[in-house]
Amino acid sequence: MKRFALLICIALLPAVSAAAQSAEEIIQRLEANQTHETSRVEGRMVIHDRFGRRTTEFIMFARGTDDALIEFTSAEEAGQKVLRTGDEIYLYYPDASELIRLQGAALRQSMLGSDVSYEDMTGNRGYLDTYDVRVTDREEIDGSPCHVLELEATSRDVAYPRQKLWVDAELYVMRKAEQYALSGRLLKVMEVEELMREEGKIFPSHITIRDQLKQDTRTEFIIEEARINIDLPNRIFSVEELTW
Amino acid sequence: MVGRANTRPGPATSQAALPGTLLLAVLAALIPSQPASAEVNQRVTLEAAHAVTRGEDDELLAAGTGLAELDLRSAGSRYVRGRLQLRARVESNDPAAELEVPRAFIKARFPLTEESYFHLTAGRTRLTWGDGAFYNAGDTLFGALGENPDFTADTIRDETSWLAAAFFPLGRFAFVEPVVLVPLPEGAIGSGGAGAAAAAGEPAAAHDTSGGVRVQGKLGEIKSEASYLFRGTESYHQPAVSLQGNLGIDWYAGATTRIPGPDSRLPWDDAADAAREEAAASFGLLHIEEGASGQSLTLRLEGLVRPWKEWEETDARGADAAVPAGDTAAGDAATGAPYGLELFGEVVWQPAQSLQFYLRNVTSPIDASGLFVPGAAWMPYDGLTLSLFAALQAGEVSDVYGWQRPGGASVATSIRYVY
Repeated sequence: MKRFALLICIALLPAVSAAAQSAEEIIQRLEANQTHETSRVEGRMVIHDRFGRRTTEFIMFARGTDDALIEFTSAEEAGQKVLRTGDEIYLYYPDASELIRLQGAALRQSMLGSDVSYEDMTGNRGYLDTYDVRVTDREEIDGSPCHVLELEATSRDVAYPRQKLWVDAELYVMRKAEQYALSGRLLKVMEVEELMREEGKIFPSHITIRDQLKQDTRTEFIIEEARINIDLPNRIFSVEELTW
Repeated sequence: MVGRANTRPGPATSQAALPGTLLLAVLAALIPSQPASAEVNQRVTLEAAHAVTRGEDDELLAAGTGLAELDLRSAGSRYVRGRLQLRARVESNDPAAELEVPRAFIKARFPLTEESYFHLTAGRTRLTWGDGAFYNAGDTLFGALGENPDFTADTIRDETSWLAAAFFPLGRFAFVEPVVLVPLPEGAIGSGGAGAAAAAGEPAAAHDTSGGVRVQGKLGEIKSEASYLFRGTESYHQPAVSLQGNLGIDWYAGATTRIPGPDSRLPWDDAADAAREEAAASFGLLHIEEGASGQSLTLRLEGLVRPWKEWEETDARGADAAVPAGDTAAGDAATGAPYGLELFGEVVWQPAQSLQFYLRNVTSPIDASGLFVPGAAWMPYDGLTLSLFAALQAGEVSDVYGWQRPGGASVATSIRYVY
C-alpha cells in the first residue's frame, strides 16, 4: 500500500494531452501530476477471499507522496487510523486509545485484510529515484492506447524489484500495473475498472488488486467522493490528529 | 461560577477577573466557530454464546450468555467529540440483565500554536500506556496484568476508568499526556459494571485521587515512553519506562516499581525495600509471517518478571498480600500468584483473511501450570463472526491454574454481529 496512498494519488492524476515521450518523460508527467496534489477521498475497500467478503469504508487525506492519514469509518473499524509521513507509519486504535508504531515484520501485515500491506505505504519515493525505466511496447486496454513501461529497481529497499506499468497514452492515467519479485514471479496485478471526472480532471474511481500469491482473493478500491487541491494544514498529519 | 463572579462588585474582583476574561477572549478568537452538530454514528454489537463447563465433581454445566452493546459517537465537529458505550449482559443462570457503561467521555481540542492543537478528554474511557498485549509493566494506569482479560478477543485487555487527560503534541511523533484518575472503589475499574454498582453510595475520599503524566517520543529508531503515577488510594509513587523497537523481530519492554508515599498502604517501611520488592518488568516479542496464498502466521511471546517475588513453587500461593507492581488496586485478578515469572504466548494462523485459528496460553512456569485457549473464528459476511473456542487449565489444585478446579475446562460457541 505504498499502494493505498499511491492508488489514490494515481487516481487523482489530471488528464493531460498526449505526446510521444521517453519512458522518463512519461513517468515524470505521471508523477508531476500526483506529487503536487492534496486530496480528501471518501471510499470503500471491498476484500474478497475464499471464505467471504468484507467491506471497509474510509476517509483519506493526502499531501504529495509523503503524507497520508486514513480514518476507517465502517462500523467494525470505526475510528481506527493510519498515519504515514515519509517512512513512518503509526496506527491508532480508539477503543484502547493506543498508538502503535509499525516496524519490521508488522509492516508486512496486510491492511485490514486487504491485498495491500502497510509496507506498501512506506518509502513512497518517485519511480525515477528507485527504478530504471524503459518503454517496451504500446498496447490497448479496454480500447485505450497505453504506453507499456518496464521498471527495474536500482536499489534493494523497494517492495517490488520489477514493475510493469500501462499508462494511458492520452490521459496519462495508470490503466494497469504488475509487480514482480526479484525472481521474476508475478506478485500483484492492479487494474483500473472505472474512471471518474471531477472538476475537469479524470482519474480512476474503481481499482482492483489481485495478489497473485493468494488464491481467490482480490481487493477493490472504490472512490465515492474526491476533493482535490484543498487546504490541508500540517496538523492533519500529526500524532495529535491521529489520536484525536 | 462566572455568573456569580459577575454579581460581585468592587475593583479587586474586576482585576482578578481580567486575566480570565482576557484568556477567554483570546481562546474565543482562536477557536473556529462551529455550528452545533447532532450527527451521531452508531455501532451495535450483538453476541450470543453457549458454553459447557466442567463444575465440581466433574459435573458438566451449561450456560448461555447474551451481550448487546450500543456505541454512540458524535460526528460532524472537528473540535468536540463525545462517545457513549452501553453494554447489557444477560446470562441464562441469572435472567436479570447487567448494565455496564464502559465508555462515556467528551473530547475537545483547542489551539496550542498556529499549527497545532491540544486536546482534553474527560469521562470514563481507556488510555493505554506502555506496550504489551497482556503483560504491560509500563501500564501504570491499569496495571501490568489485565483485569478480566478476554483471550478470545483481538484486544485482550479492555479496562476503563473515570479520568481526565490532556494531550499536548511535542512535534510530529512526540507528546506529553497528563492524567488525573478519579478515585474508584475496589472492583470499579474494569468494564464499568458490577464493581461500580456494588460500590454505589460510597464516595471515595478526594485524597485518593491519582495523577500522573507520560512523555512519549523516539530515541533513534526506538519508541520510548516514560511515565509517572501517584496512586492516591494506596499512596505510592510509580515510575515506569517502556521501549519498542525492531531487531529482525518486533520487541517491546517495560519496567516499573513502587515507592511508598505519605501514609502509604504498601507493606514496606523503607522506600528502597519497597522499590526492590515491587519491581516488575515485562517484555514481548512479536513476529508476523505473511505466506503465500493469503496465509499469515502471528507469533507472540510475552513475559512478566518480578525479580523479588517467589521463584520456588509454594502451596501458600497468595500469602504475600502485596499487590505486584503495576497491578490495579483491585489486585492480581488474573492469577492471584506472586510468582516471579509468568509467560503469555499467542499463535494466530489465518489461512484467509476471513478465517482464523488461534491458541493463546498463559503459563506459570514456577509451578508448571497454565491456561490454554484454542479457538477458531470465521467471518463469512461483513460484521458477522462465528467462533468456537475452549479454555483448558493444566496443573494441580494448589497451582495458579488447575485442571480439577471448577471451570478448569470449558468449551463455547458464539455468534457475533456488528452493524
